[in-house]
Amino acid sequence: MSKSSAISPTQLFAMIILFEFGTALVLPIGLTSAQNSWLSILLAMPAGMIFYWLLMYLHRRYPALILSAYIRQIVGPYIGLPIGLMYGIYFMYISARNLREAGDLLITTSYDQTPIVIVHAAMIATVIYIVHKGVQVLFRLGEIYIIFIIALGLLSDMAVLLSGTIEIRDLLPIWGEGVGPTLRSAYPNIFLFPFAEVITFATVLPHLKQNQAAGKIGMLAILASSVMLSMTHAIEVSVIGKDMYSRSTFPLFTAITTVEVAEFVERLDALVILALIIGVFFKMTMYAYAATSIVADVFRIKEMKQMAYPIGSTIFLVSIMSAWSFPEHGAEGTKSFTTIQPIFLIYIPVLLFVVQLVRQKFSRPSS
Amino acid sequence: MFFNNSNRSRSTLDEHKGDTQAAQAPKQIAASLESNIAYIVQMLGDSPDIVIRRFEIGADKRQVAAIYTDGITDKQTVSQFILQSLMSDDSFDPAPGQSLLDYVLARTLAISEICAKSDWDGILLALLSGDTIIFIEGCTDALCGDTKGGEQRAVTEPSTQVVVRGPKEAFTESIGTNVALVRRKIKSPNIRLEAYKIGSITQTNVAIMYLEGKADPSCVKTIRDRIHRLSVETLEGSEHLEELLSDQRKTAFPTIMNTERPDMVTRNLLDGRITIFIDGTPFTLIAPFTFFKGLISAEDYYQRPESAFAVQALRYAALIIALFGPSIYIAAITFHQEMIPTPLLLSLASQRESVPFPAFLEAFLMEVTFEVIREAGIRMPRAIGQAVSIVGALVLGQAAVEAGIISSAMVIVVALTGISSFANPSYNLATTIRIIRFTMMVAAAIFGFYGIAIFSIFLIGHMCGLQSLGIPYMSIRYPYVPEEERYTLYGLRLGAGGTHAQGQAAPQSSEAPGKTTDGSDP
Repeated sequence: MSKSSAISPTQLFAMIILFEFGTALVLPIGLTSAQNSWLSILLAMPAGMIFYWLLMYLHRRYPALILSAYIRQIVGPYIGLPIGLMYGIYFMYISARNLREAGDLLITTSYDQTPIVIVHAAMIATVIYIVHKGVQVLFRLGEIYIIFIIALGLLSDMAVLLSGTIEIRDLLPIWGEGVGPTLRSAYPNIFLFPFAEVITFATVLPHLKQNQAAGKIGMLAILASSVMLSMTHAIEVSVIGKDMYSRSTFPLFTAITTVEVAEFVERLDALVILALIIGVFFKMTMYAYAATSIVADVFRIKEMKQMAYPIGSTIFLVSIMSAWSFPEHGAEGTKSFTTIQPIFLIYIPVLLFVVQLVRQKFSRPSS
Repeated sequence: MFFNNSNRSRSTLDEHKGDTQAAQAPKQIAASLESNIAYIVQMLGDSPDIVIRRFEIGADKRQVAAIYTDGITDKQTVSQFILQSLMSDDSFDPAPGQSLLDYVLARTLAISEICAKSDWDGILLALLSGDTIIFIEGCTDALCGDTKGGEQRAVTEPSTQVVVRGPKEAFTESIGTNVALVRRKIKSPNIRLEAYKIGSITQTNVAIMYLEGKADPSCVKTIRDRIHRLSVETLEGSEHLEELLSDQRKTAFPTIMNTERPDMVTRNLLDGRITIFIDGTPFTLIAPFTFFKGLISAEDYYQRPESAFAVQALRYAALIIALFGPSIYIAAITFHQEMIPTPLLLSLASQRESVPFPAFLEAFLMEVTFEVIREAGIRMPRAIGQAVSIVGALVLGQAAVEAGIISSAMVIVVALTGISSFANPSYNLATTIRIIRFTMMVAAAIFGFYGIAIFSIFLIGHMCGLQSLGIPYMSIRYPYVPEEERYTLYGLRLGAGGTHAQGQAAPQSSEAPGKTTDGSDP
């Protein structure tokens, strides 16, 4: 209790769920598999768990160190330092992407008169404030908001069910074109986004109160979040149909606009926007926090708090300048899936794992 | 009384005197009676309420003076147990080697608490606290007899925290009475009471009370350290101390709770919290205080868990309305008209047709008006209170709508918000919520729902960063009390009563606490 930066297992659980939801709840993550996207999510889940186990393995070897610090331990300072720094930059970039996605949804839905700079500024100011407050505040916030998100989800699901717009037939045929497309959308797309993104948690694991519970709690959180994600996407497809699902920018938003219950409850878009704002907030804050702690670690800055402002400002600028329009932003995202994302989310972690194993094998006899 | 224990009390009279008096002021009393009296008269500026009664005792007609402060002493005690017993006894017979003072102390004075003092600081403080000081010619010690008394308010029904079912007594301004009220409810020997004096000028009695074995030792230590670190001249009431002891100053949220109900104090002591009594105010402080605790009322403990839970859920709803009510209305009307169901939107639009103001200004005007009426209602003499409510309800509400200055929907929103804010059992938390409501309205006026969402995250983030005695303010349950679990929203275990004795740390306290909280007055 007295240790101010201790994170409880409940908070970790809540935060992982919020993080996995993030933008994945709203964006069409299973593009190529359309009506089978819910299956793709479930298929990608085991790999997500294995990936989390890998992170936990590395964490157990270096329980007091964050990602960039144990990279240096594993591959040595000369290679480790630039890799760590690149992770920091990568996290900042993804944080900026998240911000852009939220900003664009807001602009397209209700704030067409508001400049995107203002919308982003409001969000980033809050992100900086929370990162400045520290990891404990962030996780405590997550613990409170998970209740809110789940209530929101239940409410929306209820409304969708009652409105009678669900067409289970839209989910058929299952594997109409064989297992191929479903698997292809699961690996690497859905695995990379959102599952492999849990790598950001490698920067907070040293703050955990009960280290031994982290593995189990994390697995549970990944299981819970993928089931909920899968359900949401199945509902999306069954409400708006596979064609609309693949074409629309924000399928959840399109789905919820069709809801009408008792001629009174209609246009629940605000709930979706709220869910998106909250999801994006936690996701991008988690990334911003990860970037901040890595930068502070790499440059040996004692007060991590000080870095919140420069990192936040950078994210803000990147979010606006990285793309001129949302389609361009989308294209950039698709490209990053085949180029930089696998490097940071698959190759480097697996490499680290292998090097760690090899090192352990060879260092054991000597020690 | 216990507040005389000067070994623990923190007397800063020295420093204060150093400022105001000349450096050559004597520290110890003199043997000469006249010079002592002259010194007191000079020190206290020849104050007319300092009564100096001179008389002679014993066979050798020794000069004696009894000095007390009129009004704060119990005159009957002074005359009966001090003056009478000293003056009636002429057969003074000190044993050889025994000083007259010791003899008087041991044999003559029929008063329960008396001590000999020789330092002027202690004597002056005792005199100004209501003790009677006896100087004897030739003695370099003075006797301080406890004769505190005078007019005090009786224990009455609580006026600010009323419950339907439960004890009907409230604290008074006297710290001794307040401590006794709690003592009467918890007869455990593990109750710890520590007395302090705070304020170099006011010398206010302050006492902290906690239940050993239940209270978090680190919290007790924190509060003790903070009290020791205080260096203030004055201490005015519990609000002042609350501010001084808070973990952080830069927040609108109260991180220490106050109550005027002894049963609330009892409940919280049993839950392991610490109570701070302050002389001169019926409001005692309770710490550590967490946000969710602020939504628990004393009433909850006197109702069935089911109804307590329902009422609590209602309170959360009221809190949300009080905080977001006008903001949601502003956001929906200004930014998200499509969210409002069409029939309702049409009705709202027709109402707003004649209103010349934007929704934000309209809401702002009405909210400010409401706050003014509320404030006036508190400050006004009771007889006029009714007139204010008539003016508020009829003139400002109905007339403003009919004149087309505001829409009637806005009146409903503002009225609902205002009433909801009073459903909060913690008055100072409700005040904070009202202040934040205005900021929330601004956020809604600029960004609509996005603004509300972002500002809420900011706000809750701020609250998550707060601490009360080192305990996070947003702890969902602290300290973990199985009994309390059924009253907090998070772990709703309905009907899980009867587990009261769990975790009883104090072996002998088991008979007392169980009874006191069930609404039966012991």
